[in-house]
Amino acid sequence: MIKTMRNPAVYILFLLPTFALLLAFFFNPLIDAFYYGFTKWNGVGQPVFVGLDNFKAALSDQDLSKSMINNSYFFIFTCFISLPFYFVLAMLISKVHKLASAYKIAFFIPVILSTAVIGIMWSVVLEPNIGIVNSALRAIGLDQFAMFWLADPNTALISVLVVNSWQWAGFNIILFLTGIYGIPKEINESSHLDGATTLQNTIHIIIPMIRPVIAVVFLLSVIGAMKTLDIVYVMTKGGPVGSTDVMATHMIEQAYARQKYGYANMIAILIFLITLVFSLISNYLTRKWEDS
Amino acid sequence: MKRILSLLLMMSLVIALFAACGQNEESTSTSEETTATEENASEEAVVEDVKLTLGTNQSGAELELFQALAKKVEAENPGLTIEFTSYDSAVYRFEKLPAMMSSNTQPDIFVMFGGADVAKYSETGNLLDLTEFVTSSGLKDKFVTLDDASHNGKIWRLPLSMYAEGFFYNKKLLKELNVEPPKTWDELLSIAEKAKAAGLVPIGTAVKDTWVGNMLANQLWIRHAGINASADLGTGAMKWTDPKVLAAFQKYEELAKKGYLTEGAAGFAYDQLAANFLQGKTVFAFDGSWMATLIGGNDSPLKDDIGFIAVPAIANADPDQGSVNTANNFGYALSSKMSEVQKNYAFKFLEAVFADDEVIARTVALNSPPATRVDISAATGFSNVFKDILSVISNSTSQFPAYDTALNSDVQATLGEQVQALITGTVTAEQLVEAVQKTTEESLNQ
Repeated sequence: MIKTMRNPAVYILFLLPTFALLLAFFFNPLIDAFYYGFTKWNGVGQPVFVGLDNFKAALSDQDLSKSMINNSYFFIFTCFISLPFYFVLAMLISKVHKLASAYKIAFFIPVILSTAVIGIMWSVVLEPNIGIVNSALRAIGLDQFAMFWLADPNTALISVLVVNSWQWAGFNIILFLTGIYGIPKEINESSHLDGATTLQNTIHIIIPMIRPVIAVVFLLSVIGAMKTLDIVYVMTKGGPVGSTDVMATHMIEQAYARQKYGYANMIAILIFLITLVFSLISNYLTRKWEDS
Repeated sequence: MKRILSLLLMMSLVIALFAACGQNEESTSTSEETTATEENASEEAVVEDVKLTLGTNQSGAELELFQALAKKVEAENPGLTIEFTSYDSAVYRFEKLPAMMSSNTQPDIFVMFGGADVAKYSETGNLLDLTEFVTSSGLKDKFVTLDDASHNGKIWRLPLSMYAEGFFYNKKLLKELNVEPPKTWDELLSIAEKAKAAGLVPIGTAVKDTWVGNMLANQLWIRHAGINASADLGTGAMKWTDPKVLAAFQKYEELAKKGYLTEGAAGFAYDQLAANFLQGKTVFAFDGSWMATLIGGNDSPLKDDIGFIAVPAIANADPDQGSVNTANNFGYALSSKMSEVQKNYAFKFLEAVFADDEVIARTVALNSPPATRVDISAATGFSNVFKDILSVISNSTSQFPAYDTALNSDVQATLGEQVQALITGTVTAEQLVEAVQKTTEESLNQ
């Protein structure tokens, strides 16, 4: 076995399938995007090289700028509202002894559902006439709060943000629980013996000790916020009136509605670069925090 | 031993991965070998295992009708298999078909829309020229028109039906409101006001899919600015800010401001337009006559209570107030990469599709005006709404094609977004026409 693993040919053979898949489904589309991003192409005819025209168009595209702002709302909501909430839920579940598995499964079920299913399900839940949310509000006499959740530009984005958070709660809670369960019991017991309250224990013991987990969760949330597409597309298609439009849905619109595949590819390149920059910054900051 | 087994396993995985990549080439060479063999055989010889793939946006009863027809054709041609793949309509037209045509992976037979789509796809070289087939089979003279199926003098698709756009209305609700179907726009507004007071939805609409709102807008600007307005707006000969065009959108704005349109329309997808209408609380719904396939069938709860009218006459607008948007609906096109044997079977399938008895049967079942001239006088079982649709078409003083034959996709997309914004009250009619004019100028300059 040891001799086998020292053989370079074996390494290459093991890596080959993964590399082939990476090449086919990551590098190839990425190279294609970089190629077509500098062309004018209607998706069917021959692409025509236009240099930096698409990039200049992106800089002056007000709708793209608005969609970037919506992506930043996803980032802020996910990283600074949802993540603390997930952590609190993880802490609560970690204290539970009976039915802890049931809680974990209940929170994780949305993660294994496809986003299309979740989007359609919540579109029905938020349906203004027969949806559960409005029906419940009317039943308890709160008719004035029964909104056109996905049809009103003022409420559509927050509705999508909440659904998105609901979808990924389980995944992040499990990650937090992994970190929390990894803390030696003796440390928690010692802190309690020293008179620390639960809050003090959480702030000064648990959070510092699960910094690597928090860093990973934060990074994944940043990437997810920048790449958001499916939940928005299924629930609102970027509407109403562009109020939920994110960079990826704007890209889809440019390609399929406006037949501007070249420009859409340039937006894809920008999404990739922006996500990369945000990820590097997030990585740098969390590493500094870990080291401190 | 274990080491050898694991190495063998890894190698077989890698080989399988690369073998899959060669699958298409193997299929093609098999097809070519079959073709060479078959060309040497007599015409009457039975050909084994010929498959035709068919891509479509049809669903439900409509899809079942064509699948049943395909089975008939298969039974008459042993060895032939016609395999259907059905897609969501909007996804098919705007995402799936362009991707397939771009990569030359389109099905052998596939649904295609007319006008700009024909021009675009005919230039890829992936469409089969149907001119000779249509002429030799005698079908050419049967079609009402093949203008939107042609490009550069050649025929590229065969339309399956025609459509007209207008207002579906709920007869029962009009009776309850004690009114007759409106003959003028002012009468429509009066009925809408009564309907609103009665707690009904005067005019149903669903503009989460932004193209839906464009249909009524199209009819309104034609009725204000004339039968050639779409073509002139598309070329820039007429501006969107023209007072006549602006007047059309102000009419639309009035409907939204007075609360005559579905509340929360921006949250309803297109398929909910028919669903909401069927709930029986919506008085009018503007759509193409294809909606009759969904709402006018024998199992529809409103089967006998649906009527269809053209947009009522608008005062102080264009003199021609009888114009109707009517044209060919989607049709079948063929792939140019089929073998000769496949082409022959595909032609047989098309001949079966456009046989008079099949066309008449489909017309009755789907409430859909045929694209070919057939004598339906002896046929029975037509729904009332179908008779209304035929009446709208035959009584129209002039006909015009849909806006998407004249406006480029950039302008269409902006128009859809702006109409959605108009309906939600986010923009005014003036802002709408300025935004669409700006996009038109930018796209024409590129």
